[in-house]
This record gives sequence, structure tokens and C-alpha cells, in this order.
Amino acid sequence: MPTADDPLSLVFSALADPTRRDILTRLGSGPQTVGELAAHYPMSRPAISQHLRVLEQAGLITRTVNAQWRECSLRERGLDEASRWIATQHAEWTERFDLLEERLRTRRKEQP
Amino acid sequence: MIDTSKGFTIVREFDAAPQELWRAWTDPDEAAAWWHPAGLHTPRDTVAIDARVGGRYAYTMVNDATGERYPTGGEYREVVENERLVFTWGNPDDDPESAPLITVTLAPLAPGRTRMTFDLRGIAAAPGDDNVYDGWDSALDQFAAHLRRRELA
Repeated sequence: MPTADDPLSLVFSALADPTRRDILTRLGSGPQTVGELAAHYPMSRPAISQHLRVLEQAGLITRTVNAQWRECSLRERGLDEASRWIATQHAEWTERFDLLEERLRTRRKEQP
Repeated sequence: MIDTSKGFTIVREFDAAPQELWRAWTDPDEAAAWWHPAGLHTPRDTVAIDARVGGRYAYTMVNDATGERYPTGGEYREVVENERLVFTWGNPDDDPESAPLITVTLAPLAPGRTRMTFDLRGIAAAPGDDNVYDGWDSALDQFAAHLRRRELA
């Protein structure tokens, strides 16, 4: 079994969050500054920075200091498009099965 | 382990009979409760399921925060009640031949306990023959385009 901090596990846990997946989608069309990214989300800048840190540790993005702005971009070598798609789908289906488990549990309680 | 080139498999055990899991996959009231990842929901009135070989299903996921809508659908390829369900999965407007293929297998372990094996393949699903060719690249292009559309929507 892979340990929790092997590269693939880091990628899967990084992608197991809708905001982080959305950030990757946005960066797919080109680098953006932290401020530009943060403007899309109803959360604080520190919360966005935390998401970016997780993505960076998973090797999915790079952050560079460009003049006074920190710019974020997809890390091409982090995962190719195919692997990224697979990892995203894996994370999303795991979330679905969590909901399914919850649904089955609820139905069980409803039964006499 | 995950085959990162073509697809992946998730195996999970549930405290439920195969019949309950079958219902979760094929009854629109059940499906609406869980056919979406975190941060989205599936309105019940968007779900339509015709679980017969050649029948289609469709549903629309809605982003909780932004209201963006993601229509999804496909065609059933194999339907063995309480045991096995095979269907294409993608954008409802796309050609099902180039959509990823999902296989769900249910195996009873004990009364009220079932192992579900979920397999998603990005290769094209050729119906009725064994000419499974690698349509992964086109499927990927579609999904990349789909993601871009999501972003622009």
C-alpha cells in the first residue's frame, strides 16, 4: 500500500476538493496571480493560499514571484492531462460513494 | 492500483444488500441523492433513467455555489439486475462511442453486505464486438474541452 505522502496519494488528496479542482481548471488557460484566483472564490486569501500550498506540494502547480506578484501556473510535468483527468475522476467518484454510503445509512434508519 | 494511462477501479464494501445498491444506481429518487461530487447537487427533476440495454440516462449536476449546470448522460450496454451494470458516461450531446465506459459489479459477501467494484475506462466503448480500440485521446480532448466550457460557462 502506498503511504499517505507518496506522490500519487498527495495528488489524490489535493484533487479531493472542489475548490482545488476548480483552481486547476482555471490555471489550464494560463498562469494567474493569487489575487486573480482569489477573486473567484467566496473565501479569504489565506484560505486560497492554503489550497495553493496543497496543490504545490502535490507537484500540480508552481508559484513564482513575478515582480511583486506571486504567479501560479500548472506544472506541466506534475501530471500529464490524462493522469490529471484520472486522478480528478477518482477523487470525484470517491466523494460520490461517500454520499451513497450516507444515503444507504439514512434509508436503513427509515426502515421499521 | 490505479492504471493512470487508461482508467481506474474503486472497490468498496457497503452495509447493504445488492438489491439496495442496484436501486441506488437505477432509481432516479436514489440517484439524485448521490450522483455528484462534493460541492454540487443533482436536482431530482433532472434525472431520467431507462435501465435497459440500449436505454439512456441523463442528469444535471448543479454547482452549489455558482449555480453552473453540468449535464451528464449515457447509454446502458449491459444490465443484469442486482449484479452488473455497464454504461457510457459523458456529455449527453457527445457520441456515446467515444465516451468513457463504467462497469459496476455487485457481489454479496454476507446478508446485508455487498462489495461494489466500480471501473471507469477512458477507452471508447465499441458495442457488440471486441474491437476495443484506444479512443482515450479523443475522450481526453472532449473532457479537456468540457472542463474549459465549464470554466467559461
